[in-house]
Amino acid sequence: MVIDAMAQLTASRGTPITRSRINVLLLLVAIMTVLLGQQLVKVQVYQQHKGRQLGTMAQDELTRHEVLQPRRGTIYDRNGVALAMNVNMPSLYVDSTQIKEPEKLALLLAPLINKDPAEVLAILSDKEREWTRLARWIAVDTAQQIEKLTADGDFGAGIWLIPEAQRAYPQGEFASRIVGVANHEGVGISGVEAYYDEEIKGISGKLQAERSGSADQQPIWIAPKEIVEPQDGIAVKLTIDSTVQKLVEDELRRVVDEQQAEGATILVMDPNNGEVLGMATWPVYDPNKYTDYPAEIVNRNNALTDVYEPGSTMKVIVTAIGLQTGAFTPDTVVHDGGVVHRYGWDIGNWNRAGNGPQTPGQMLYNSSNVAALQFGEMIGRDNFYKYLKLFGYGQQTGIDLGGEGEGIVKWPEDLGDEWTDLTLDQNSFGQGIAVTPMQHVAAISAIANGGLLMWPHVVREKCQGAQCEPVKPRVVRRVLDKPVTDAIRQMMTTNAEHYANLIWGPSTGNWADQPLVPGYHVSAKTGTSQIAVNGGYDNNAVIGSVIGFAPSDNPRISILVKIDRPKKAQWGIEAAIPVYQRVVTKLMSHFRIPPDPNYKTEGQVIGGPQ
Amino acid sequence: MFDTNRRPPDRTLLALVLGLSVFGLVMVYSSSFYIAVSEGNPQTYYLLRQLAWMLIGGVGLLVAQRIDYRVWRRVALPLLAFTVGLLILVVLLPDHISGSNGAKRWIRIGGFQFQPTELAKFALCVYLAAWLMTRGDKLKSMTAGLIPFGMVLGLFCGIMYLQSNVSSAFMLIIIATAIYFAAGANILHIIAGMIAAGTLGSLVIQTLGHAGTRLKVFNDPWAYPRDGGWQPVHSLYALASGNWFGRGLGQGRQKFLWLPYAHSDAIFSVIGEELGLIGTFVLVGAFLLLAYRGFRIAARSQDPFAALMAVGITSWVTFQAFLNMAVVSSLIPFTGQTLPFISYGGTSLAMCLFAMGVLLNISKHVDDQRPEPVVSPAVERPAARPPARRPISLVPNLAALVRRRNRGPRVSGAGSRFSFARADRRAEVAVSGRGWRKYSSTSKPAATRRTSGKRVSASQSGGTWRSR
Repeated sequence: MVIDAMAQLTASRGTPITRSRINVLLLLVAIMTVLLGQQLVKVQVYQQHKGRQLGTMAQDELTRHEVLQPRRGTIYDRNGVALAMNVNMPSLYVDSTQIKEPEKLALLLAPLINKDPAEVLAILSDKEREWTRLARWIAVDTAQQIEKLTADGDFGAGIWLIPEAQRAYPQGEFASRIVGVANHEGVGISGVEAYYDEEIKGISGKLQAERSGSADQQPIWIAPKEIVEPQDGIAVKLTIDSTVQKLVEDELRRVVDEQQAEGATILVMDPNNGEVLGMATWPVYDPNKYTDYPAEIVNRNNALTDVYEPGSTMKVIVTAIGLQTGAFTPDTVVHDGGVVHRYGWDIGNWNRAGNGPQTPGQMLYNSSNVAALQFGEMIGRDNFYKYLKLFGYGQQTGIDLGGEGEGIVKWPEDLGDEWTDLTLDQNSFGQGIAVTPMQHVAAISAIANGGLLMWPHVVREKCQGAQCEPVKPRVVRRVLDKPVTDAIRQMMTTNAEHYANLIWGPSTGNWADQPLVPGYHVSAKTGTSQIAVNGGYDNNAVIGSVIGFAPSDNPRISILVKIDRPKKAQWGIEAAIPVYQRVVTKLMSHFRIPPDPNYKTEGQVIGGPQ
Repeated sequence: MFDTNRRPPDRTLLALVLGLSVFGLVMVYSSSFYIAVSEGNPQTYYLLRQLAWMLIGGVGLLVAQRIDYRVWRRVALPLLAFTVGLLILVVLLPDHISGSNGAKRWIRIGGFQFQPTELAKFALCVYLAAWLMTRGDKLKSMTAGLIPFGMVLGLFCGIMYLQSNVSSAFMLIIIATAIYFAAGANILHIIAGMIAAGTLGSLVIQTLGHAGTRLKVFNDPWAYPRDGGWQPVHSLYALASGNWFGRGLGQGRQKFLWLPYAHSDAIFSVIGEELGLIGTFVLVGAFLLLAYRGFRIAARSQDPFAALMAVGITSWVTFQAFLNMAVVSSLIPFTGQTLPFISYGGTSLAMCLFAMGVLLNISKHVDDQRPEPVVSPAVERPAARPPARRPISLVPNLAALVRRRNRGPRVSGAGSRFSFARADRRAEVAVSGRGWRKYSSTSKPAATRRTSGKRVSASQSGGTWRSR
């Protein structure tokens, strides 16, 4: 056939072809043009195809919205020691679609990142996963091992080590209850981290740009991009003095260890401006590994949240209210017969022994419940609760830390008919009322500084870059007048000397009253609190506490020491007084307060006992 | 072999082809620079390659429009055999020379890459035109028309099947059918053939997995984002992003590794994104104009071989272009055909330019054997001369070659304003019937007369050759 055709090639001139057929072909092209034009208008102008909005979909796919994370602010102590900061640590990311030899890689990687090889293999061989974080914040040497691993083997291009900011707490457990923790998502969950979270975390920025279709999503350089720069978080400087904090934490550990106590709190505050200098509560935790601890340890600060019956320490407040309201004077005398009968109840002293006639000062000295009760009755219901409110009991102090408790005060106006006069009697010696350590220290600070209730706070300065703004101390209100506080300071100084033989007796052989802290006049009042359990009291345990301030005439610090359920000290105060004594002794020298060399008895050493 | 015809080719067509190629070059650069960079090459990598092929194709075009198209009739069978040989070679060659993406379509030697299917399109045009012009009424019979035609086409399609190249087979069927139809085939035969080819084709498509899924993907490309839906979806995204006026030349986004083959198969989408509906309409219009000029040449050719060649070449370029554009805009399912003159792809560009050269040569002959507008009484009427019996020689004689050296430039018109003397001598040679021109058999009388006529008019108007 073909040969036949070739034979005819030269011979035949062929048959002319008809134009109509060519016109049909041209018509065909014209029809295609119309169809194509129609489709193009549909796709390009109406941007529709099979019910989908093409233009929007295209732009959505191209556009990358990215949140630009601000740097979380650093937290310093008052001397500039970093307590919380950001560290860039490498994180391991994989693009499973680009991984070669996932089995081998999984076996090699798993031990380095402490994961099960099967789990890693499942991720690596899932060809739909383009972006997985295998491990977060890898140690630098591990990261180097991973780098070497990927350089040596041929596992494809899908392995990245990307630096990510990790919140680090270089001092570990130190001051952790105050600083708090930011969780792995960078949200503060406790302490200053939580309270100042909005300011510390900064304002996140955003990036809107168009990206290429490759796996690494390079930006398209011809496309306009929109950037709102993130604003880094502010740095905060705490009022915490690391020396004070270290001291109270060490004492805390020591006393908890010695007494096998279930908990303890030591609070040190500057009474003149409300700055918290040190705050330690047991148990402690390491914020770098906060997930290893139960949430109730990480999320609460016992110095703010726990309420307890203040016991005899409340007698200081009762005295202050009485003197301020003029219900009695420092010379007013009541009779203490050891036990008193009220409203069908017998109320007695701790040893049920009478102390005879008692002035307010002697009432504090002997810690007489019977006398305190009578002074309380002198004050009367209205003034008593009015001043409790003025002192800040039953309310939050407003400290700049979260989770603060309010304490429990049986306000007559709230309880109405249920309130009885017995409540006032109980409250007079610190029972039937519950306070938080922070409230109590704020109240005692008001006595120390001459009558002003200060707002307690832990942040001293907020810095945006180099610009720092100090947090101004705030006076909440005046509670007492200066003469009243002067009188009480004197009583409390005498009180402190009464506790000194517990410390000095064994070494000096002198069991009489003497300076508690040689060289310094200090104020103190102890309290043994019963622990309220299910409507009654726990008979087997107490809370021993001391509140006070030093030096008495010009107080620099006010202190609360509280030891929960000590196992060795029967009354608790035997455990609390030595702590109080050591803390004050050391802080006096820390604040370089010149001692009065004559204020000591024979055998006492200034700065001792060591 | 070399055409003595001095009449100009279809200048509209020439300008169109030139314009499309240059536009294509611009678009290849725009759509490929990021791809090149992402592959670790300089951003002009594809541009320079395309430019090189364009120069090769350009030379091919100039040479082809100088070669008397009748030469192709003589070499039709050897060309066909050669092409079939190459195609079979591709199938037999090891994968590292011929393979890519699971198909065997290329011959790679060093950095040089050639796709014999592009040559096959041309060879098929030549062979079918040469063969079908001789059939006459026999074409309408089953045994002399449809069956041999089906056998030739079946041979090509069989090889395409072995190369896993369904889209090229489809393209060859279109070209062949267009020639077959234009040659005067029985419409019923064509319909029957289409049914047979369709049945066979659907069976073949089912054996070739990737072509089968393309139909499913076509129905809902978003359902197969990883298995073929990616390309049609992003083609549509690109077109839609262009809207009326486009993002602006070079401003396309989909070429940033979103749209696969942005510089080759899918370049029409990039044009749509950057130049908008205006751009795509102008391009569609350009191909419509190309079709019009091509089919016009075919319709006006007196020689059935020329007409069928013109039909084949025009159908090839036009239908391939429309196929590509229709696919890219999701009018029809996806196949892998390039957009002629525009898409990156050396073999395709060079072969299309070469084929256009052939078409341009045919365009010089459309008025053969028609009354001449300029009549010179000094020359005898063509009818008075017996038709030349001398066959076309593949090798011009040496004397003619020597004389040819002294002739004017090969590009018609260019530089001739400085060559009055040459023009006169050329005219003398033509009149005296000597020289290389006489080897052109059928056009000789007309050419001679025309040139001498021109000479008269040229001398009358002061000797400017340009005036012609």
